[in-house]
This record gives sequence, structure tokens and C-alpha cells, in this order.
Amino acid sequence: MLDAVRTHPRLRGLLWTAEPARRSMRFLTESPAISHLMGRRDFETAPRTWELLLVARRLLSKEPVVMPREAFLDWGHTALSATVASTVERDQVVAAVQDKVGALQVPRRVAEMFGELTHELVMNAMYDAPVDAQGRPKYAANRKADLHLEEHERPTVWLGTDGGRLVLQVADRFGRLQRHHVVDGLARGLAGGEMDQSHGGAGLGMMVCHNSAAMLLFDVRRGARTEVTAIFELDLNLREFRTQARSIHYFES
Amino acid sequence: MQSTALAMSQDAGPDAAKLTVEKFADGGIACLRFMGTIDESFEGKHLAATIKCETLLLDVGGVKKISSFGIREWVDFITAASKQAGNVVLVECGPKIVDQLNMVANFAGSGRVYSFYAPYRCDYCDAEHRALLTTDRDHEAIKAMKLGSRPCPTCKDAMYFDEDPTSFFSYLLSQDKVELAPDVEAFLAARLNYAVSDVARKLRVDKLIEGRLTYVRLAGDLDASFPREKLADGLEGPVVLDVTGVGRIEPAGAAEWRGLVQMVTPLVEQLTIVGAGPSFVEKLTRRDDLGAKGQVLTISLPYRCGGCGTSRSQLIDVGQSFDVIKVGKVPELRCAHCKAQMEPAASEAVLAAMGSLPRPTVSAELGKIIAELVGRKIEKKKPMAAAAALAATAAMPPPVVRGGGLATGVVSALVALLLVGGGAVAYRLFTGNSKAALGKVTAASEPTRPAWVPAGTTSALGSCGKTADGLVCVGASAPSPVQDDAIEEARDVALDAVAQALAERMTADAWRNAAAVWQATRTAKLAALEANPESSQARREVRQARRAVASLLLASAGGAVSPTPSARYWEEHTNQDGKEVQAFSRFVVPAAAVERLLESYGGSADVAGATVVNLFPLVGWRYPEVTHGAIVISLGAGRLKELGVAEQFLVLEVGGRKVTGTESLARLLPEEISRLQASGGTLELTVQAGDGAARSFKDQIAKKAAPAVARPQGQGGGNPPSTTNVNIWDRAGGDTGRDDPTQ
Repeated sequence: MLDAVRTHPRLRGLLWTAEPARRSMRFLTESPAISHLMGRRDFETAPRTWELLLVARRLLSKEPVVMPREAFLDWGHTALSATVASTVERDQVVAAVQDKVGALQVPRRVAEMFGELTHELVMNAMYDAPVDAQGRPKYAANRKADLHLEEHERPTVWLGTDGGRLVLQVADRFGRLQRHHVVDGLARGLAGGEMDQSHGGAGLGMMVCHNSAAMLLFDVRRGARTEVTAIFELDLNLREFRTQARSIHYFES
Repeated sequence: MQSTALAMSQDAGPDAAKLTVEKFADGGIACLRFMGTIDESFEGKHLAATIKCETLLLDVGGVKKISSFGIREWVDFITAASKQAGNVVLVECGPKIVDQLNMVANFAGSGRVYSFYAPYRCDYCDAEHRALLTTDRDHEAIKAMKLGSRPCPTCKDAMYFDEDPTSFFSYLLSQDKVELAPDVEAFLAARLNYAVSDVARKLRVDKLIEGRLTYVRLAGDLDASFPREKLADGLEGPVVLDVTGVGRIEPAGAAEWRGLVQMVTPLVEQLTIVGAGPSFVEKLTRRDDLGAKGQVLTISLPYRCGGCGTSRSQLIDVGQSFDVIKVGKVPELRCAHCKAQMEPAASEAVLAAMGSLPRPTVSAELGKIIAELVGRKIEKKKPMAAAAALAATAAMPPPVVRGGGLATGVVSALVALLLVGGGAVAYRLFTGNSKAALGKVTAASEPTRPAWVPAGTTSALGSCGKTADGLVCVGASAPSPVQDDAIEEARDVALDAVAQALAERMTADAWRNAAAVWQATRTAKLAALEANPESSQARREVRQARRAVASLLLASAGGAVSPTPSARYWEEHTNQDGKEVQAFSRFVVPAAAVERLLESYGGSADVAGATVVNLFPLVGWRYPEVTHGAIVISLGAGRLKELGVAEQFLVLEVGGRKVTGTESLARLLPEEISRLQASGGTLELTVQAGDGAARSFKDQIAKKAAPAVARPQGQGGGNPPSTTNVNIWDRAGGDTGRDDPTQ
């Protein structure tokens, strides 16, 4: 596949794998034309049709495809949303997400895992995303600081479930997340958890996100919006979830 | 579709403490207990700067969440803490922490994981549980990456390990077996009530004699196994009982303690208790508990510093603070670290008990000696250097065993040589480690070394020989800084040698199944000790096994083996490491008694299709806790097989009644079945099998129908009309207990 995307610059690669993401990361690291990992438990398990169609549609479309977050869920789902204006609200939202997931009668560890995932995504949206008028990061230097975000800086958190899937989406209005943030962060974290302390964080947030979701979708409209969507399949038990290959998709428009 | 705004959790406001860190300190050991969320607000470096100790214990069992930035702070903390403390140990790591250890390089710094929680799930009651494992006790299971199912604490059905073992154990597999130093184990068990090995919780008694004063130091739990008689033996003059290391006090242990005080009160001049902890004060210092001659000299009370938050035990002199204590208060103290005011952590019950203590009276000279003894470190046993071969006993005519020295690496270490000349069989058991020289003999129990004491032995070794008197076994202890300890070990070693000699005489084919119960474990324990003579864990396991064997032998021999040796001898050696005592014990089992024992242990009985033999003492190598039962050596069709019992299983109880041997099993089982057939119910056998805890094997037994009663003619046939919900088919007859309309 690497050869194919090298020789055909317009070709985009989609890697369907049953292997742990750490073994697949080299493909994403080596070739910018591959931004999609589609993980399944094994090759006898059919790929998620909707996932395949989603990626194909996005890759083949010449126009930006707007995909409503409800599209990840079946009819009749329930959803909750919140806007985070401060560090205090961040903690409240994290606790609320954990409570809501716990109320679904899932194992406590899944609820805690989603709490951690929410914390990671909201931290990135609050501290790393906002920039000033000159495009300089406003809050990234000090993650310990208490923040009170301006209206346009406030990320939104959305949690939905249809009983089969649990979807968490955190969005900001800056669109600054880049492919290398995702790929390098994952590659570094999954290779052995070496920290990158060159920036404000530990550089391990991507790894935490990867470990907490069956599927991660990064949808970036450059300079306008970043949406990170994490999907967990409720019909998997934790042991199955641990051993299942994860899906990772990065879209940029 | 329903969409609502997320309701904010009210308890997650800025004032809610995300992470609480409790500090406990004692001597060179400190423990930090983390509870809550580790995230960006955790000041890792700042916390690490406050640490000054030799051993740092990190209890991370209460960590609920850890964010990626929290990981960064944690790694900063552990890196700095590793520099401050010589030894860092992580205890009670939850699955979340185990995940981080697996994923993040350097998460544990230079620390090692001692205990961790494995997640379990019960599908029957849809609940999650966790089981605490330690990296020493559960080393084999971790290595094999196999955690068996366990009974659910709620429904008692099997729950399974709810993780992918390959990923869960990846970090733990990379670290060596972690063994805690005895003082660290004692700190964890006695001060903080953490899970440590069972052996570490067993009461350890050290006795020192200084002039007329007898000083006894106790460490471990007070339970039913408290050696009251043994401890009371020889106590006289002024006696000091140092209970600083006493942990849990069980009601049975408290009763034994009171019994000890009653026993020694007429014998001693004064009974002084030092280092009584809150639990001890509350339970064992009433006037009746102390007796006529008892007094409490010092109390070890935990105080929490209001400044640095550290909790540490403070020794309170009852005499000096008597006026304060008397009115239900405790002396005010300041933190030695930050000089801030310290708050005592004592319940009302403890304060009340302290208030009723008598004023202690101790002469200045005695007080000085006590203070010196309390502060004296009782040397830990040093690992022995390579032992010279046991010169097979000067007492056994003639020396019967040579060779097979340590260099041969015979681990199971049983060498039986048939001496053509004397026709004697001797056994040589390597069980210890050794050191090249013990040093100069500076004291001994007799002016000259008896002829039966083997020369050149520097390890715990046992040997047996057959003489005209019968079976003669000699046990040598490893050198120990405590005399009683050495004497006790020598006795256990000798009795273990007696049991081994008896086992060798069992020739029946079926007996092999009985021997298989303990042989592999025995070999493994001895091999572990030989492979790593410095391992305190290996030494403890061998020691504990021998203790169990000795107890079982004495309990089951029916007086054929005397509980006291026929001869005893000890020597005190002095070398650069200090003073150490090596002891020797000699047991003689008359030939007739040997025959009787062989008959008793070798005799089998057929019970419910199985052949069983009496519990043999060497079972103690595998199951040190087992004290009664019968061993299944072969199995045919029958009730035991139907229940799931297999060969090499130990049947311990039938319907809650103890099985004391083959005869007992042969009597109890039919009795229980008959009883259940009369009333209906569950036949329950407690069985020890495999390496886990004893299990229950159950079978439902239906009530047996009463014999059919002939009815008068002309009253109509068939069954009488049922007026209850009783199964009329069963009432009508048949012994299957089944509801079968075809009958």
C-alpha cells in the first residue's frame, strides 16, 4: 500500500487491520496519504459498514461533507450537551459524563474511562486550541492555570447513546489540530509511553484517548472547527475491547 | 430523540479535594496514601521534596483517575522521590495504575510493585470486584499469566479475571519477585493493616535476657495460635513485654494473652508492657487484663501533624504523663519535622482505657535497661554461606551419610544410602544456606559438645539413622541471633526428618498418590532456597513448612513421637556480624513406635468408592494451614467421585464436621448421607485441592421416600390424594428421587 500511495499522489489509503494500532502506526507515520485505520477484532468479523461508507464518502467527495454527530447513532438515541467556560465547569462536565455513562449500567470502569477521555479532550480544547488575534496559543503554556474562557473559546461537549454505541464529541472553534499532532502523539505513546514535555502537556493525551475508545474520528476544518469524536461499542466487554484493534480517522478540509 | 443539557455535578466544584495524600511515618519507613484524581493540579515535585526516608511506600489503591498531565506530574514525583528514598515500593495498585505502568515508560521510576488489584467480574450478579495479589505470594500465577476464577463475594458463584492477561501483566512480568524487608512488612501489617504475606502476620517472638530482666519482643497478629505456654515457659524476675509490633488483636488472641498474664503473674516479679498501641490499650489493659503485677510503661499513639500532615506513632511515657492521661487527655506534642502542633488520633474508648491505667513504677536503672533493649535492633538472620556437608551425625553410630554435598545440586535433597555394613538407612536433607564460618564459640549449653552433634554444619539440616534404639533423627538449625528461635528450628528440622524417614518406608504403590500431594512443593521450596539462599521469602516458606510438618507429626503420632527432644544442645558463636546461636535437637523414636506409625499412616480405608489414608505430616509442606483430614489415594465409582473429588485431594470436613482420619471419614460420610436422605438437603464436603483455598463440593440429596404402606383392601388403589405440594411420585416409592410419571 505504501508503494501505491507513493506512486499515485492522489490516492488515499485506508488500512483495515486486526492488529494493535502501535503496529499500524508506521504506515501513518511514513505516508501522509494514509490517515485512516479501520480496526476490527479479526478478518472474519465484517467491517462496520457505516464506517466504511463514511470514509469512502468523505474521501471521494470533492466538497466538504458535513456529517451531523447524530449520524453515528441509530434512531431513538438520547444525547446530552454542554459548553465549558471554565476549569470549574470542566470538572463538573467530566463528573456529569461519568455519572451519565455509569447510569447506563455499564461496568464502572467504562464510566471512569469515559470520564478520563472527556477530561483529556476538554483539556486539549480549552488549553491548546484557543489562540489570540496573532494566532499565538493563549493558554497552552500553563495547564495548571484556572481559566475563564471567552464566549468564542468555549468548547462544546456532546454525549449520545443509542444503547449499542456510546459517542462522545468535543468540539472547539479554532480548527488547529493537525495530522502530525495525532499521528506523532499516538506513535510516541503507543511505542512505550515516552513523554514529550516540550509543550505544556505530557504528550500522552492521544494515547489515553486511543485506550478509551474503539474509534476516534478527528474532523478538522482548518482555522474554523475541530471535532474529536470517540465511539465505544457497548456490546463489547472490557476484555474484548482491550484486544480489539482500534479505528482512527483523520479528516481535514 | 432526546437531547438535554448536561447537568453539572455539584460535588465537583473547586473546593472538592481532587487528591488527598495521607502520610504515615515510622523510623526510616514512610507511606504515602493517594486517594482521588491525579491530574494537572498534583504537584509531584513539591510532594517529593518533603520525603526523607529509607523506604517509601506508595499506596495508590485509592487513585480513581489519572489524566495525561497527571502522568507527567506523577513521573516527576516518582523520579524525584526515587532520589530521596533508597527504596520505593508501590502497594495496592488498582487496574488504572497497572494500565499506566504498562503504558508509560518510567511510571514506577526506580520503584517496584509489591501488591496490585486484579479486576474480576461476576456475570451472575453483574458486578465488578477486585482481588488483591502480591508479587511474592502470587509470583507463579503472574508468571503464568493465569488467574483462576474466584468465588464472588456476593453470590459465591465463580467470577473471572476481567482483563486481557497479556496486556495486564506486561509490566509486572518485567520486574523480579519483590520481597519486602521484615521491618517494612511489619510496618505495613501492624501499623497500616495492609495485606502482606500470611507469614509476615504470624506472631514473631524474640527474647533477650539482660541480667535478671527478661525482655520479650512480639511482632505480628495476636490470634488463636498465640503460643501462651511456650512464652510463659521460663519467665521469671522482672519481665518486659514489648508489644510495639503487635498488629491485629483477634478475640481468641486476646483471650490467649489474658491466659498468659494469669499464668505468669505468680512466677514473675513485675510484668511491664511497653509500646502498647491503641488497639492493645483498648482491648488488653483493663485492670483484670494486667493482673496484679502488670503495668503499662509506654503507649505508642498515632499523632497527625497539623502542619505537614504526616501521621506517625509517638511514644508516650505513662509515668511522666500520668496526670494528663488520668483525666482522659493525651500530652500535647509538636512535629519533629516542622514543629507544628500534632493532633492525637485516638478514639474515646482508647482515651478512656488510658485513663484507667495504673501509674507505672520502674526503678531508674531498670528504666534505662528497658530503653536500651527497646532500641536494640535484633539482628536479622544473615544468609549462610555454602555449607559443608553434614557430617552425618556423630551421634548415629556409625556416621551414615556422606557425600551428595551441595555441589551436586540435589535439590529435593533426599539421599538414601544403604550401608552394607551396618544395614542402616540415613537421610540427608539440605534445606538451608550456609556461610563459611560461624565464628568463635563464645558460649554453649554444655561445657563439651555432645558426640551426637554433627560437626561442621552451618545450615538447617536434618538427618536420620536407624539404630538399635530405633529411628534417631538429628536437626540442626541455621544460626540465629535469637536463641529460642534456633532451638525451635532445630526441633522442627529434626521432626521433619522423622516424617521424611517414615515416608521413605512407605512402599505401597498407592502411597505414591499420597506422596505426590507434597513432593513437588517440597522440592520446589527447597530448590527456591538453594537457588537464592538470601531470599527471606524462601527461608520463611521452608521454615513455615517444617513447622507445619512438626505440628502435624506430633498431633497425629498418638504419643509415638515425644514432643520434647531426647537431647538438646546450643552454641553461641561470635563473629564480625555479632552473636548467633546454632541449636541441635535429637529425637529417638523407638522401633516399635516406628512400626506403629507406619501402620497408622500406611493403613487405608475404602470410603464411598475411594481409598483414603490418614493425613501424613509432610502434607504440611504444601498446606501449612491444614491440620486434619484424609488423603484420597485412589478413586472408583461412588459418592466421592460423583461429588467431583479426585485422587490426591484432601477431605477436610463432611457437613461441617472435621475429618480427623480415615476412620472418621468412613463414619461421617455415611452418617451424613443417611441424615440427608431422611430429611433432604445438601451434602457438603470441604476439600483441599490444588494450590488455592479449600473448596466446598456439594450435592443435593433428595429426601428418601418412606416405604410404601400396604393399604386395606377395598379402599381403592393408586396414590392417596395429595393435599400439599409434595411430589406424589416420590412419595409413592422408588429411590431415584425423580419425578418420573412412567413409573
